[in-house]
Amino acid sequence: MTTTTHAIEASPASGAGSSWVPGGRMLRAELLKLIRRRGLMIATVALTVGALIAYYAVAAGLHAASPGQYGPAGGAHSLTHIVFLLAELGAVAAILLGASVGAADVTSGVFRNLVTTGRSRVALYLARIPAGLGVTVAIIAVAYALGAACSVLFAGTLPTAPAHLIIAGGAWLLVNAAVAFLLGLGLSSLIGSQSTTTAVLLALTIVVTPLVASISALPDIRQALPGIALYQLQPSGLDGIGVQGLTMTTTSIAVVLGAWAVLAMAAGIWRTVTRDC
Amino acid sequence: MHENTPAAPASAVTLAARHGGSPALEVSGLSKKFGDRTVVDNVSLRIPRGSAFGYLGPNGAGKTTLIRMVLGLTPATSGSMSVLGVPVPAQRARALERVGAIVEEPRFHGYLTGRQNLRVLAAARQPAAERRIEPALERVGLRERADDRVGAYSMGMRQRLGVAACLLGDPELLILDEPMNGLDPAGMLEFRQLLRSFVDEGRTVILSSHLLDEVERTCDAVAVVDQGRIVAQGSIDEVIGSGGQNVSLECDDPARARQLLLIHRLAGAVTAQAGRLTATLDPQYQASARDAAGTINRVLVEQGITVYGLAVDRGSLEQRFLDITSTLGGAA
Repeated sequence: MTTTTHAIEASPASGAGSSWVPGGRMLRAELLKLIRRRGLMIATVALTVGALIAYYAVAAGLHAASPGQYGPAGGAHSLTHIVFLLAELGAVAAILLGASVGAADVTSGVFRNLVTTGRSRVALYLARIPAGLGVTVAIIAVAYALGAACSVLFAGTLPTAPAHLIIAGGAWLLVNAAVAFLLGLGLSSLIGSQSTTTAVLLALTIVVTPLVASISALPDIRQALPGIALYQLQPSGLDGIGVQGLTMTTTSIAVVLGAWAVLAMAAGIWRTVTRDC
Repeated sequence: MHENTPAAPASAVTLAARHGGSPALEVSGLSKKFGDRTVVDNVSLRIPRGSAFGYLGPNGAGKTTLIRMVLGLTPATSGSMSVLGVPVPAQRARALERVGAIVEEPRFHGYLTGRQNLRVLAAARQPAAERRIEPALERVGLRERADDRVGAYSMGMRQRLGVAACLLGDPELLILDEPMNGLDPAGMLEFRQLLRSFVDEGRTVILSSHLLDEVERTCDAVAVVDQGRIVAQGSIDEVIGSGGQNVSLECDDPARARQLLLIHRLAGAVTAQAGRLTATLDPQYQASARDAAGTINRVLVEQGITVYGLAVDRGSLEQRFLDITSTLGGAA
């Protein structure tokens, strides 16, 4: 340590930290915090890109070993497979990312340091959204682009999916991942625990939603679940997961997904602003 | 002036003038309750700028809670606060812009390097904070280890990084809660010098610590808090002196000397141990212990007693702290 004296700057306090707008430096800081979590990044890439590589490696291997029994790995049908593979695993990855972004500062104790800078707590929260969402969307987009390319490259004699379906499938996956990320972010900011958030949302995504989707006796209640609304939003032409006896309009789907996203964000902001630390 | 350039320190007077002479921290009637339990009870403090102020108290006395209220980490139940002349929490952002703080212990993201952690914290401050990262690392002696992950840092290194984080805002006020935890003796000496250099620059340092000896060496004034209330406040000398001063003496006839001290009302109480007397000075002599020692010497010599040694025992902050807090503990 050095004890050389340094003059204090004469600039008066501006109070600029009270602004709710996070600014580019805060976004970059959030991005730094996220991408440097090596374990998390490896897990999310493995769940998305890794799963696709595994899918095509197995399919291509089977076709090469027994072309008569197994068709080409690619084609329109494989696109349907990878879309729903990424819908499930991409949602898991997005939940992991959202839960991490929402709870990391609180669990590490850094949130306290950030608050003592005088920065608006709302700004601290809002900075997490574009940074985390950007990483989530980028990973899903790369994985899907890879999958879509493979579906064409390995199509062989099979017909490939039309371009509009490839684009619609990708857009649907991104919406699916974004909703999962926002739910993860909001819930983890609310309860301050990455592991609990992950467990709750994985149970909702993997267990509760498919179960409720199969119960045709409760059509109105089913509509309120984000996963059901996302099933309903899947592009026509993809032979995906069906929800028996339920049809939702685009408006009602938008309302349900929007309500969940707003609710999650509002809960996260409220807790971030009121949290004792 | 660039903050990396060593320069003549800004005087406390200059800083005070810039802010209209407002204190670095002022709290009035501040209370905090958790349910029925009062953790901070009607505390009033006024800490002048450009000083090192010790904030002392046993565990659970409410020290950290007061700091947390000042920094906007938890709301106060009642009372008013201002930091650098700016009311909080009403204008928290403006008030804390030039404040650096470590609360309880410095916490960082263990998977990020020291430099990356500072970048994260600097991003929440004004753009100038980014430029202060390197000088801050240099100043706390962490530049060589700045690219190591904080998870591999010792407690002492984390404390240093915490101070570096405080410096990002070029603070006029530093609030440091137990900053010397985990430091070895050499580290504590360095840290003390660092804190004093902050004061020399005109900054105000509020030091909350259990290390009473370090507080006594570092701070100009202290407040002692117990059970949520301020029980003593003032300069180090005033607080220590408020507990009564002693004179210890060695002579050839301790029994007679004891009688004489009591008869002449030079001492309120006299204890003897291994032929050595310890006299607690009568209240009328507390303000001038040296004069009292001279009077004692004269009286004893006039009565034919040979005095071998005579010393004023100023006492210590630690002793005074224990006296105050144990008194209250006994009362409770």
